[in-house]
Amino acid sequence: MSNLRFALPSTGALFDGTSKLLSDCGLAVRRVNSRRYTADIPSLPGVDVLFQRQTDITMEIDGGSVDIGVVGLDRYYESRLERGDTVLLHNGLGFGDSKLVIAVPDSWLDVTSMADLADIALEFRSKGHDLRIASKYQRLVKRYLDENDVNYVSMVHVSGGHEAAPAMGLADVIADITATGATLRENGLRILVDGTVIKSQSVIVGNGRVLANDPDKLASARQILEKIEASMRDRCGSYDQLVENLKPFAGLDG
Amino acid sequence: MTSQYKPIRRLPNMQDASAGELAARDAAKSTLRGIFGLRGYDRAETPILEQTELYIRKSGGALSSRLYDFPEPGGFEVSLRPEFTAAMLRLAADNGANSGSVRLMYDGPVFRYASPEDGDGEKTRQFNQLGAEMIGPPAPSADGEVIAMALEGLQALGFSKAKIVIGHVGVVMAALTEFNLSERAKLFLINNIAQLKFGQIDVVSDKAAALGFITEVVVDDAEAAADRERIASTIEQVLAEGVGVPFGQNTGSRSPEDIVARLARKMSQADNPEDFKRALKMLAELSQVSGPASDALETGRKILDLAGVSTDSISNLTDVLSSARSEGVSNATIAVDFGLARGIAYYTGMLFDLYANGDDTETLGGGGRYDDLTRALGYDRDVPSLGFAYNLDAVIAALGVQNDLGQNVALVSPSDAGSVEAAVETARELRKSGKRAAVDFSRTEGQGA
Repeated sequence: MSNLRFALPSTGALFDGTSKLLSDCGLAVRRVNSRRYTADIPSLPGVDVLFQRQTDITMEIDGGSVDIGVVGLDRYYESRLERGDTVLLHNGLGFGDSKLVIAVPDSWLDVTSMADLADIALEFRSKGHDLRIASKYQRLVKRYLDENDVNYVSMVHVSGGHEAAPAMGLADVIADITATGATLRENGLRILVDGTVIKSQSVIVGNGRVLANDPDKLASARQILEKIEASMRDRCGSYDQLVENLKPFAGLDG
Repeated sequence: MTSQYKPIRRLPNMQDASAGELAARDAAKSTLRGIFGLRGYDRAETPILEQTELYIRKSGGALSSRLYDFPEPGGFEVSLRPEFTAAMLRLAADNGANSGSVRLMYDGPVFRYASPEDGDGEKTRQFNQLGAEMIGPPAPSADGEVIAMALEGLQALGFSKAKIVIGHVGVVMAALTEFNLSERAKLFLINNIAQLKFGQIDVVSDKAAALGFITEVVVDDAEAAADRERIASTIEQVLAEGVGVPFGQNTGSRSPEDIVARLARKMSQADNPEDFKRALKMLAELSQVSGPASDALETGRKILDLAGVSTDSISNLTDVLSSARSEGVSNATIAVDFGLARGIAYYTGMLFDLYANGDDTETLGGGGRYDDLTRALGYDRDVPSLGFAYNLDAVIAALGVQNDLGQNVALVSPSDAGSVEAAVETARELRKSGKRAAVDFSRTEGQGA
């Protein structure tokens, strides 16, 4: 019997939301102390809980060191491997709502839309420099800029505090996660009217190849999803969705 | 149970090359270098890694989402090269290409990510290019040389029916200029020529509407009202107290003057939707004109006339075509296509695609003229330049290559472990006489030899 390795975010809003959700559906997590990164679910033997950085969970599921996990949809789309083994098992747990938005200095009175941003990028280019955009979400942001015909943009890597990047001269505009927009406003930034790259909330992601070929792990994953489903009565179909999502992986034991 | 063994898989859409493909590639390179060399082109090589900005300045968004870019250990933002032109122009400018012509040729792998979500999921992401750049001459006769050389190369490789399809960004740009459109509106239209060519004017119209060219972007009324109020009060303040006051400190990389100037421009000179629609209609018609040079030029002139646009710009294309003819290029190998565009907005004059046959849809390469590229790359002047590249992988696929991995090798097989030494000696003798020879060790396996 192999245990299902279930990764949960170790900090932040997703940690709180996941803890509450699991408690509500009778799957309370038992952690000996808050510094330990492993835990279990007494009501569900056969599951090892691993607390991980939210940024790492998708990659770990892809790499096979974790079987399923709770992540933000934005993180999932940003970091999953192309043609990798991850599948979306539950597409909305009802917490961790946020959106990835493009914001400009509030003083740029003439820039309110993506079309304006495209125009500014051309203006910058004609002066011999690029419009610099700071974001952790390189993949999602690049695609969104491309879709909106915003050309001549360079992505700037900033490790944190993206809101400060324009004021510090590290970037011209930013793309960052926001729940209410308050932090952006406080830092003199304004979200473009059509600047939402993706709306996100917490989801459950799993390694399809592993689940499709390991009946024990699949059974544990099924129990978790069914309990969550039962506690979120108005959201349904997630086990059916799981079966559907696993079809491409059947027989692909790697 | 999941197996613990997990071999590393090859990256999606990256190919391994066989001995046969490599031999064919080497042979093609040698033939083409010979032809370019006779015309005075020298080989040059630039690093596979360059600062990302080099490529973004050149090509903009369409290519920037395809770059393999990452921070390198020294702290630079770098990209694997997606093409050679930008680096070759950098090299020529760094070496002070001030006067006369610099003729360069190059070859090597290029890297372009193709997203499965964009329907390009099957495209190979690393492929080989061989190409040439001529830096310096503005005259149409230089265009003729490059066109002729591109065709000569294909003919020398055995493509006796090689064809070239020529378009001209200058004609399209000059025509659009007469509609009083902003630079951005013109670039939008040029970037969408490919779709117009395939009759998708509705799709392009929808995109234009979404970008606010045809109708205003729909915004929340309250938000729009707040915006208007804020802008009005700012302008009042600017008028009363001078620029700079209402902006606080954080205007980022733009000056308050930049912002006020663009605001004024945006309010007074937004693209007129009627002009935009007329330009779109003209371009939709023009982009579908293609065929033998004389017919296409005639039809193109008619469309411009009907739209009330000057046909002067077509004369440059006519000059390019006659310079190609004086290089010995026959009429039969040339077609004109006003809808030719590769979704990259850096060409300024003629541009072309190369084909093995007239009715092919897969190109073997292409090129064109880009006279304002050096300035876009940050140099203080425009250096006229033009060039082209073959997609060597497509060329070799079109030639049809046998995979001859391991063929024509004499295998000397020892009958047992004791005769290995004799077999090694025999193989050595064979090699001395110039034959490919190797010892077959497979039979000695497991015998402690």
